[in-house]
Order: sequence, then structure tokens, then C-alpha cells
Amino acid sequence: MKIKEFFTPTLLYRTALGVSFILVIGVAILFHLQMSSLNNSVDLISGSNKRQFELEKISSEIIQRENSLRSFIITKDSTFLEDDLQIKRNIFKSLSSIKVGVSNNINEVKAIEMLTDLIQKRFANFDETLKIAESKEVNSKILNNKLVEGSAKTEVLRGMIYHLIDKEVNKLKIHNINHRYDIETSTITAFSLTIIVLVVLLFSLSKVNHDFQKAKKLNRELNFANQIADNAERVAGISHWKVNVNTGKYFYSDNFFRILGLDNIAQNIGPDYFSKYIHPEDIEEIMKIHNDSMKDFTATSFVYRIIRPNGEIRYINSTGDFTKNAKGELVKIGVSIDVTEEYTSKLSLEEKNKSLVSINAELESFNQIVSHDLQEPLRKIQMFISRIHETESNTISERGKDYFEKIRISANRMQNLMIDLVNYSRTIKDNKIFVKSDLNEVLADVIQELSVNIEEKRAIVKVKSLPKVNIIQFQIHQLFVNLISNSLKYSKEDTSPVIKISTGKIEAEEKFNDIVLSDKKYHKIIVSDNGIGFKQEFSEKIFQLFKRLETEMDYAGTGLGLAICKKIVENHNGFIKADGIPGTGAIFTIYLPK
Amino acid sequence: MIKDDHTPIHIMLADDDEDDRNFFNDAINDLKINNKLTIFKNGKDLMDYLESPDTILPDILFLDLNMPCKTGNECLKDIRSNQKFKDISIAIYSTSSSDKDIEETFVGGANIYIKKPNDFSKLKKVLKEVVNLNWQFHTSKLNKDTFFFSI
Repeated sequence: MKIKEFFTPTLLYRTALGVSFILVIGVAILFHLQMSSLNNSVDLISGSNKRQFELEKISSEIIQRENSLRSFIITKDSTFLEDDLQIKRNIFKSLSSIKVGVSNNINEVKAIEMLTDLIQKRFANFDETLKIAESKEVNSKILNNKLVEGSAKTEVLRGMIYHLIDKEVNKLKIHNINHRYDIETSTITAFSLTIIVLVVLLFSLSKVNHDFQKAKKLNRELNFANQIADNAERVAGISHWKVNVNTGKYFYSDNFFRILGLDNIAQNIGPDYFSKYIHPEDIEEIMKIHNDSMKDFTATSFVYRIIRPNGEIRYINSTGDFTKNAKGELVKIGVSIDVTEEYTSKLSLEEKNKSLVSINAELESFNQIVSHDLQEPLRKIQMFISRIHETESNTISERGKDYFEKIRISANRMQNLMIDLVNYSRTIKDNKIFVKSDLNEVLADVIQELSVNIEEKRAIVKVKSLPKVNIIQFQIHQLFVNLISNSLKYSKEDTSPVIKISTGKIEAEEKFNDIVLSDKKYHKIIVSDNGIGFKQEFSEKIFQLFKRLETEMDYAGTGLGLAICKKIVENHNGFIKADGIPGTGAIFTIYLPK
Repeated sequence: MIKDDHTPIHIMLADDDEDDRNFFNDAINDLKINNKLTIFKNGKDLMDYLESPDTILPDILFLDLNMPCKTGNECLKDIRSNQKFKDISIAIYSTSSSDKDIEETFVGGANIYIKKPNDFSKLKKVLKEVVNLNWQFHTSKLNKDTFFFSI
């Protein structure tokens, strides 16, 4: 998983979070409304209870007043009337508190007003009764009437009060039902709120836990990757470093220190820390390159030397370039590679190359000597021999003539040898230009060139149609010159030589030194003769430099001709082999790649 | 060069090698043709002579390549860059038969290339053929193959 992907919350996750947030808020608002409705019903119940209580208090106060009046009438003791005023005040206090509780209901206000009226009437009766009772001459009949009237009034009043209390009781019943309902619904709401919060909490917790586990796994993987990278750097001799252009803070990988041969890995350090390990001849230049690049933000690449604490010199190839980090800050990132082995081998290769070039130049001048400077005196020797032969042959003895003949043959041999040496060296030189050429034309040129020799030997050269092949033309020309010359040279004295050049079909199992050959890949060209042949055991030896099978003077070879042939065929990535039967002839087979 | 018998053919040779000069001289004498032979020891003497105003120009110039002071190639270049010498037939006469030398002198404007023979009778044969060559005919169909003279 990618880090970025991990830290980007999914749409589902965001939606779930939003929905649960709205749900919690909604349920909380509902709960709040229900709680205030519950409060309200509690207020209603307590108000109703209070009014009931006040009404009952009024009733009992009235009865109390009646009783104390009766007691006074009987005893004429005025102490019974002491509480009179207090009772009256209590009753009106209760009345006003009832009034406040029912102020929003017109029917009830009217009922209270009626009650007040009844109470005042009752009190008026009390006062009249008291006045009669206090007078000196008590008219018991009037008094009795008043008392009866008072009792009737009290009855009416109590009836009114009970009616009101009944009403309050009924109201209370309704309030209680409502209250119970409110309690039930708010309990459900509270419960569901708790459940929802719990679910959201659990969900979040599990998500947090899941993310934490993932982060832990990622962290482990990251650590592992870092470890792999470090090991890879160690094995490959590579290290990396970076520097933040804004903060100027450097970071070096562990292997950077190992390459420098340092045991301790330090952090929060800059290039200055390493300056003492950099070769004094290199430090100024590389610091300049680095510092310049930090100004104009161009990529850098250079090789420098370091000196390890143990004195060992290593070559470091350092390349650096600029990029932006996650925060968008410019960072220079570099790779430093220990290239000591490559560098030293490159140096030694260059050294070898130089010596090769000079060896080649020497070979070239050797060629020059052989082809020109050595031929010059030899040519003169031959020239003088021919002059002596022409003009002095009458004056020298037979033995002298014999010696001169031997000198002439030796000089001719030497000339052939030098020509072949030059030819051989020409096959080694590297000016190998391949051109698609018709071998028939090449052969025609060769036969033309050798026409004097061919005529001399009365030889027959038969060429059957040959293919077009990609060749270095002058070399293949030389190849056929040498092969035909070879056949002419080693021909039988009593038979006129017949030399055949033709193509052949490559057999299914045909091999050359374990390399399987096929018609698809190779041309097979056969040069055969009816000469003296050779023993099959020499079939490899004849291609070696200066190996001649016939030592007699009759066969004046240089020992180079077939070696040149082999070299030429090898230059064409082909093969050549020789088969011989002594006294019957030789067959040379050439395989050239198509 | 078709000449009537009364006018000698004017032959010139520039070669630093004394033996070769002698061989050349002897061979020309042996040919028994009516000729006037002028021999120079190096390229500088040759050019000094050619460039002096009252010189009778040769019909054929045999030019060795490897000479001190002024090489045959340098002489060839100087002669071919001067309109005055346009009628001189130039035969390169050298031990070398390297492709490089043949190529250079062919491009440089020589008429024929002779590799010095290693047999005196062969030398005489070569000189006889070259001196009696129909230069007009030879030059008109000159190419790289006919440039290198072989018997």
C-alpha cells in the first residue's frame, strides 16, 4: 500500500463520520426537548399539588376560624380570637398563590374569583356573628340563625373547594400520565443516544486500531525496505545522500560512511565533516562544483579520490541532481559509487591500449622494412646475379656457375618469403571492409594473375558457378591465389595438374571442431587437385606458420601460404580444412558464413 | 611516342641510388635506340634543371619516389602544377609496389607505374616497352589497372 493512499480517508469513511455526527446531534436535540418537556410536566404536577395543598389549607383555616369563633361564643374568652387576623392573612396568601398558578386559564380564574367571593362572604358572616356574640345582650335566636347561616355558607365554600380540588386531582392524573409518557420516551431516547454514541465510539476505536495496525505494518515494511536498500548499497558499493536547499540540512546513507572506511555513523553533519578524507588534490575542485550547483541548481557528476583512515585511496563517482520533496522544497539528491576497481582497471586498460598502439606502430614499421627496405638490397643482389649470368658466364668456371645458380635460387626464395610475410601481416591489420562480392569474378582475376604459372605447368583450372559472399575482397583474392599456387607447386611431375573449384552441399551431421555446420548458415567451397597429396595426419600441421611438409628444393614453398589462408578464413568467421591422400591429391574445404 | 629515326628521344631519370642509375644507363644503351639520356641524383637537381628557362624538356621522365631533399611525389606535384610541363610523360620508377604509393601517384598525374625489376633482362624489356609506348593511346584509356605496368 502506498503511504499517500493510506493517509487519504476514503469517501465511505467520511460519509459514515458525517452521518453519525448528524445522528448524535439530532438525538441529543430530541433528548434535550424531551427533558424540558419532562421538566414542564414536573412543574405542572408540583403546581397542581401546591394548589391542592393551598385549597385544603384554606378549607382547614376556615374550619379553624369557625371553631375558634364557636369556642369564643361558648367561653367568651377573647384569646380564641387572637389568631383571627393571622388566619385571614394565611387564607389570602394561599388564594393569591393559587391565582398565580392558574393565571392562564379563564375558567379557573373565574372559579378562584368565585371562591374569593365566597370566602369574603363567609368572613362577613363571621364578623356579624362575632358582633352579635360580643354584644351585652345576646339574642340567642339571632345568634343561632347567624350560626346556621354561617354553617351553610361554610358548606357551600367547602363544596366549592372540593370541586376545585377534584379538578386539580383530575388535572394531576393527566399530568401524571403525560409525565410517565415523557419519562418513558426520554429513557428510550437516552438509551438510543448512549447506544449510538457507543457504536460511533466503537467504530472510531476500531478504525483507529485498524489504522494503527496498518501504520505499524507499513512502518515494519518501510524498515525492511530500508534494511534491504542498505544491504544492497553495501553489496554494490553504492551510497546516497541528500541536502535540503531551504534548510541546508544534509543526510548521508550508512554506506557512505562505510565507503569512506568510517565505523561511526554520524548525523546532522555537512560536507565539511568529510573534507579531511578527500584527497587534497581533489577537494578544492569538487567543493567548488558542488557549491556552484547549489547556487544554479544544475546536475553534477565527477570522480574524486578519498583517503580512508587506513591510508587506502579509493575512487568515488558522485552524481547529483535536484528534485522536490513532498513539501515542495528543492532537494539535491546524490549517489556516490565506489568505482576504484573499474577506474583502476580502466586505467590499466588504457595503459595496455597505449602499448598496443605502439606495438601496432612497430609492427607497421616492421612491415615497411620487410616490404621495402629489405627488398631493396635483395633486388640488387638479384640484379647483379642476372648481370653476371648475362655477361660473365663465359669467364667463370662450371663450379662458379653452379654456386651462382644456388645464390639465385636462395635470393628468389628470400623474395617469396618476404612477399608472403607482407601478405600475412596484411591479414592481421584491422582494415576489414566486407563487401558482397561474386566469387566467380574474384576467381577470374586470380586465374588471370596466375596465368603465367598455370601455362608453365600446363594446368587446367575448372571453376563451377560460385555464390556471392560478403567478403574482404583482397583477402579472399589472396586466399585463392595461395590455394591455386599451392596446388600448382605440389603437382606431380608426370601429370598435368587439374584444379577444381566448386561449391558443395553441407551434410546433415557435418561438423568442424564440434561446431555443427548447416547449409543455412555456411557456404561450402571445395578446392581439389590431383597433386602429390599429403598424409592425413598432417592435415592440421600444414596450416601452421613455417611448417612445410616437403623439404626438397623441388617444392619451393615459404611455409606461409596456407597459414595466410587459415588467417583469412578466420577473419571471415569461417573454417578451412585439408584432406589429403598421398599420391592422389589434396582437397581443401572452406566454410564461409552466409 | 612516335619519333622519326633522326630525332633522338629525350629520356630523363631522377634516382638517388647509384647502382640503379647504372643499371638504367646500361639498359638504355643496350636497347640501341636513338636517345638522349639525362640523369639526376635527386629531385632538387631535377627540378632546378627543368625550371631553368632554356632547358630542352624531356619526352619521358623516370621518377624514383624515395629520394632525399625532394621526393618523387613532390616533384610529380610540382611538374603537374606547371602548364609548361604538360607534355612530359611521367613514369614512376620505384622498388615499392604498395597500394598507397600507386594510388597517390595515379591521383598525382603520373602516366605509368613501374616496379623496379630484379632481373636485368627484365629491366631492358620493361624500358623497351615503355620507351616505345604510344603515349597518346595509353593516356587516353588510362585507368588504375593499366597504370601499374606489368609485362
